[in-house]
Amino acid sequence: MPQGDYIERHRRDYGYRLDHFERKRKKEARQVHKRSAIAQKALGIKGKMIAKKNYAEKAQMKKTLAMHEESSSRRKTDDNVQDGAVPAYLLDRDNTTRAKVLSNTIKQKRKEKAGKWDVPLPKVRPVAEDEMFKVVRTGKRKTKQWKRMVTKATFVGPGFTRKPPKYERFIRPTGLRFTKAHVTHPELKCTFNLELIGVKKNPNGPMYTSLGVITKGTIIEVNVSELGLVTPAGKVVWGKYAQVTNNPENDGCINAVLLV
Amino acid sequence: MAKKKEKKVNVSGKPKHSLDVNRSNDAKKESRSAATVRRLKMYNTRPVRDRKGKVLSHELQSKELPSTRIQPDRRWFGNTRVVNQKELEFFREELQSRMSSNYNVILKEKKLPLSLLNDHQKQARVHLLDREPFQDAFGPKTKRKRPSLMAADYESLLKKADGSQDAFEQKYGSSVSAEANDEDGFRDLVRHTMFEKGQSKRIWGELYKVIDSSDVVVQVLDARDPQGTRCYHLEKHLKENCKHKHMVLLLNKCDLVPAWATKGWLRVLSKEFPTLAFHANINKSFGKGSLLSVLRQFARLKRDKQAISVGFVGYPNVGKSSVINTLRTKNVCKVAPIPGETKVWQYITLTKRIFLIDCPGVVYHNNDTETDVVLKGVVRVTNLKDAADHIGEVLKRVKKEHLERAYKIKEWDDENDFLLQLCKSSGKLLKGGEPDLMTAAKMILHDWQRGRIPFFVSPPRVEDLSEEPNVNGVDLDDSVDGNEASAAMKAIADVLSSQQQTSVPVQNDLYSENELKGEAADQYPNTNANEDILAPDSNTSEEDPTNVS
Repeated sequence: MPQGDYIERHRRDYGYRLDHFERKRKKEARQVHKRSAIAQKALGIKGKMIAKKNYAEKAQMKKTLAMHEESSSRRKTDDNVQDGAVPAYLLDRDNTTRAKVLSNTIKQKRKEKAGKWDVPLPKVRPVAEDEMFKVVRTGKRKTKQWKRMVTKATFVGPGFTRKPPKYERFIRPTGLRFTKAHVTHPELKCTFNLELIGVKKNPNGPMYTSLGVITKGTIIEVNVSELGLVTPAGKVVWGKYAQVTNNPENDGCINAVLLV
Repeated sequence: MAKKKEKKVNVSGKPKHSLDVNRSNDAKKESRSAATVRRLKMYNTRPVRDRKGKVLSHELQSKELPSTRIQPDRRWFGNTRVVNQKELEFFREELQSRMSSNYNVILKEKKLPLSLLNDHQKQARVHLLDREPFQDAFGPKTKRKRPSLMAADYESLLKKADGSQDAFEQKYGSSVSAEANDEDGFRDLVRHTMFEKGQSKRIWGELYKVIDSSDVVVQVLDARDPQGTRCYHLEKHLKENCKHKHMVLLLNKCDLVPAWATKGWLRVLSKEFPTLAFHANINKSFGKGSLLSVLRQFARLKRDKQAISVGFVGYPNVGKSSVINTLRTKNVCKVAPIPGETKVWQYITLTKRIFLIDCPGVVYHNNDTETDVVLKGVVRVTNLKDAADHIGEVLKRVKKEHLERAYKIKEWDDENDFLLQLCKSSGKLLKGGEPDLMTAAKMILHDWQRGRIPFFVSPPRVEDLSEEPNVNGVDLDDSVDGNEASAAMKAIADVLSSQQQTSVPVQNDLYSENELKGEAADQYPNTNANEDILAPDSNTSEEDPTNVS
């Protein structure tokens, strides 16, 4: 019997230790750190030999990964072409598959389409919460600090009534409410005073949209029945979106550009 | 962000305390719902501070900047609301027939293209080319030889200017009197600031706050002088800017006037707004059931909302806070028989779905004289420095028999003589036996404000005295109606009709039987008062020889 087989025979006869596989897994996981420590501490010719071996392993790993990532649709064709089928002046040109052509076409279309549906102001200065709201102290001793006064222009709609004071957290002042906006048609180059219908999107967040806050860059819905727009089907258009281009709380009016 | 769920600590079992947010919303348990618990905890939110007092964080006050990029989307550039031609015609016809009545409402105005239905007069064109085309003035086919001006020469221009000036002066006659005052060299006396009660910026700020928070605005009028205590500016403001709010008129103190006068005013005012008669007394009230029914119908009309708010507005000292106390059947608002007791707005819970808002009395600036302001009850009588100047108007407005019964004075020559006799009989004398006219005048004005001296303004005479209820715009025969809004308005009209037919209680010993019954005779109280004033002269002349002897 060869020496050293007694371990295998013992495992075959009596089984493994109860934590054998866990310890083995952990040891394999720690191998990376152990090899790294050895590579850092090795000096002299021993260090050079270890570095050379690690470099070769890494290069081989990169080639393997690159080989897997390579798409089959982008590979050059390796079909055997019979002699005489390709003219002599085309022999030095590589053939590509149709998939690449389709890929280029889609990329071009996406590039063309990128700027078509942009609003006039895609990004505006952000407004933090401490600038948007002001703390209102209430109660007999002015210790209740759960109410907030909105400091920006708002739109509340025709059927608005304030909530009872015990349920009203956000107070929208009457002096900062607007019902009309100066809307400019970008192609006709003329400006109308149109009524607001609603606030569609405030770029600072959906909470401000639900509160009806109007800041620079807000998408509002305006009543365009004054413009006399008609759809190709013959219906009358009376609602369209516009984007606010000024700061209404500073200027005292809302200037907007109609989105057409 | 406000509805952020808290971390679940007690996953199983019952909530540990009353402010535990992880509660079930089971309606059977009659306990606090999760939303209520979140709201109650919101009341106690405070800024978080370090040991030196610097604010570290406060809810909804962070300095973090949000992302403000708007994604490109083709839906930004499309049409959001379109309407068909047939629908436009349908809307226009329906709007014409229904909007003219004060008893019809539009529940969702946002869905309708109202600007397409109404034509604005501002946008009317000049129509210059329709009247005179271009080719008539220029070119080979010219028809015009000289420009058409307003006047041919200077003299006709002068005549035209004088004519328009005369027309303007006839139209605005009051401005001519103002110019006459300027020509006389006199100016109006600067009145005391106490006569501008109810007109300050703070009071009107409270009023607009109440209107902003109200779904229904109840304007409380004094039944003795309904037209004098109305606020026409407020009614116009509601009609123009707040179409979704409802106005109800409430004739308070109806026990101080005869029943026929109350019914007459109800008939007249019901043409404009729903009008109810009311007597504000916690134990013996009148009209409380009717007002509660009307408010419940408005709450039913606004069923989509969780609760409605009813604001009580009106002149000072008309009894707004007393009406609220009567509705609650307890003293929830502070009341006093003097004007200006309510100083800020007050919020009162009537039911789970109806809130009441009390408002301080407001007065719109108009051309009332000082006596009118005093007799309406706007000014506190104790602060008057010249109370005796207003007694003449009181003697003019009140009948002689009421004054005789109130003060036991049989005859008097003028207001000074009346005050002298009142000072003697009541003992209001200064040193040396001199009568105190100021105190006596204040006594009379106090009695006037508190209703001890009966007085009322008669309603305008109606040609046909039909007994049918005169509620405008509602077809009572239309019993089958699927629309809930018209059903609610019909119920309100039924309440008004039933109250107009009910007998109105009047305070005892205030009017004689002839005044209570004789409607036609009391149509002209001023004339009767003038006739009664002439009678004491002969009596005094008869008694003069006796005094001399």
